[in-house]
Amino acid sequence: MEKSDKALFEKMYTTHVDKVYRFVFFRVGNNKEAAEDLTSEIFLRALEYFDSYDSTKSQSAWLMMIAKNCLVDYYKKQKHDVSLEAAMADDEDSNKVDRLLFNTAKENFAKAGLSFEITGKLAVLSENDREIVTFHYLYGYSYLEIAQMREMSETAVKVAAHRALKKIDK
Amino acid sequence: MNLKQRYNLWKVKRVVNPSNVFKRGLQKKLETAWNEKYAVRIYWFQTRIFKFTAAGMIVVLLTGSFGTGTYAYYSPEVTEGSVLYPVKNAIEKIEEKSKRNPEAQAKFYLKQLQRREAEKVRLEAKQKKVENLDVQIEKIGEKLEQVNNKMQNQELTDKKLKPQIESRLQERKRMLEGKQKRFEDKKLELDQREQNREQNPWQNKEKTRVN
Repeated sequence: MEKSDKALFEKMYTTHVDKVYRFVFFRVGNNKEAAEDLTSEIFLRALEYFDSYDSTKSQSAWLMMIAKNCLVDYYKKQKHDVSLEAAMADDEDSNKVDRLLFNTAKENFAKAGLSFEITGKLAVLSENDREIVTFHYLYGYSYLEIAQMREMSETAVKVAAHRALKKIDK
Repeated sequence: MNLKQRYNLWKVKRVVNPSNVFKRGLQKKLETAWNEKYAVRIYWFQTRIFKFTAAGMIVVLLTGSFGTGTYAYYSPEVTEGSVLYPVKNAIEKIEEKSKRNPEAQAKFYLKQLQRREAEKVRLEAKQKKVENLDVQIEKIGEKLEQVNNKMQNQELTDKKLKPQIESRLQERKRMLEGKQKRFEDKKLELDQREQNREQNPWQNKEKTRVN
């Protein structure tokens, strides 16, 4: 590992720590301590596997993958949701994990009274659209980052977001 | 999504931020973990203390050498045989090389002559040998003459320079003539002695026998 790799990792940390924290926060019952622990774990795991990271690929997508794995581990430890096992049974289907993560976030939103009317409106959207909207407006990811995470073009993400917003307005 | 909803989301986003203390702490933790995992070994010469000490020492050394050099260069007390004399010579050589046009060179040689003479006065006061200094003065005078020859048809920016050079060269000429005269007198004296010896060979033999 060279000095430049360390600088790259440091840059990755400073760019993504807020977004990762927000992503985690809404999925752990708005629990600040738990969110901090999980964020630490995500970045420590990222550091652990950093030598296998392909720097030509999206950092956001790579970190999000680690974050999702960490959250799954967290839920397992907490025995948070029984349906997790069901979702994990078919672990080829990552959408199920995503759905579970979103539902948990939604519940936590409601619990904390943070949801306002937004969670209800987000529920109207398809999973894809919902993810694009939350990632952009709530976690702070740019359209380009979302596009890289979802392996879509930036324009396609923008169009999807625009349509999703229109749906919410209806 | 209307403006109010966007504002609400933005507000939530703003509220849900990790604290700076947490971020700094995690950054430190990650740095330690990085150094442990990827074995970034910090050598003694990479430590901050060493860097500060080295920087301090360099400053002290530079100041010291600069001060010593300045003293060596300007003081007439630094004469031949003194520890700092080579420093003085080295600085003068560099200065000489830096003078490109004949006028600057002439100024430099004039200054150098003054310095050598000041040194000579000091050495004489201490009753030390000044032969080497005389040789040096002679060499510098020669160089000054060469430079003066180059400047014959040249307009000088410093009008006072020409008379100074001329008086110096006159002085040198007088000194050389004096030397020449002394040399010739000595030669004459030796020749006469030789002639005397040839004229009175018995006297010489007598002397040898007595010895």
